[in-house]
Amino acid sequence: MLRRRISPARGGGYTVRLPAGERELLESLPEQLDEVLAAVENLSAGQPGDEGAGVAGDDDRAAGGTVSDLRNTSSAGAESGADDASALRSLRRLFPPAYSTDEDAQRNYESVTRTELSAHHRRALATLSRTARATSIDDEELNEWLTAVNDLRLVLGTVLGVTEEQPASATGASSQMVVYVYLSQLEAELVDVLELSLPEPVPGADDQVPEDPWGEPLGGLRWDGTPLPWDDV
Amino acid sequence: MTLAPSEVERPVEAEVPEADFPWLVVVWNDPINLMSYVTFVFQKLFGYSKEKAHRLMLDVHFKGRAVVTSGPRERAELDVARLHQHGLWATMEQSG
Repeated sequence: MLRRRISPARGGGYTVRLPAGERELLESLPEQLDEVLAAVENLSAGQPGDEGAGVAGDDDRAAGGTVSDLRNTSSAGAESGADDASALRSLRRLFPPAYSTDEDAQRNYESVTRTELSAHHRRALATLSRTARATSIDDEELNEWLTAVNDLRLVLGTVLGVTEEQPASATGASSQMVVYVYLSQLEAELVDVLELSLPEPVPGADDQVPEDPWGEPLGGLRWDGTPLPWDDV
Repeated sequence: MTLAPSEVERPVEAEVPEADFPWLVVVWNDPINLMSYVTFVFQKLFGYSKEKAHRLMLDVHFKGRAVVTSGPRERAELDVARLHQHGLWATMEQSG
């Protein structure tokens, strides 16, 4: 049996055994996403449901360009308006709406949570970058690795247009897709090891979950108004 | 303060003011989040057993969405915010 590449250490914390190439990638990827989040933090909150709202004008250009860099991590690619649009969509993925129909409530939710949500993502990205070359990290740091890796996957997966019908595959794929598949594997490893340190389930918590009010598969829409996968065909 | 009844009777709808219906926190399916990650997040945030968290994840995956918690509006907003911090697609809606 293979030894885990990330494993609990005696006396607490985790031992990380990753090749230098992977560490280099994990050190550099977060910076690119962080630049985008920094730009977003400086903008006023946008309209809910409005694609890319709150990211406009010159800032739009700056933010879009940076995600395009992420997209083109290891290959040359041309900047274009389409790139900017998909960059904004992918960023939107990190700031989903809480209310899908009530615009006032959504605006209020966004104004209350946006700064902290952005700070949460940025903190995790900074930790991953800072500790990417460490051989020993603590529990909080490893949890932030998971958050950061998941954020990177969400943005990259959205940029790449990963869908249920077209799952990621490294076979004959672009270098961005290879990075995406790599992050997916690393995330699975992180979940495997962090699962070991989850606290015991809260007694009675399972029974608090309300019945599914919709029953069997719904014929509705996703929160963003797009059809569910099985409605596409 | 009163003791909770051992069996909760289902209230007649017309007698319950709208504001009293609890808010449901809904997690929606998405093609990117790993199934094992979603299960892990439900365990971590809500203290569910692995079996329960796994069943909720399967509901999200196969039915398209699942109610993961419910409660007063403030509590639901907090749960949604925590789910957003973990990159899940969560929204809230009032039941009833």
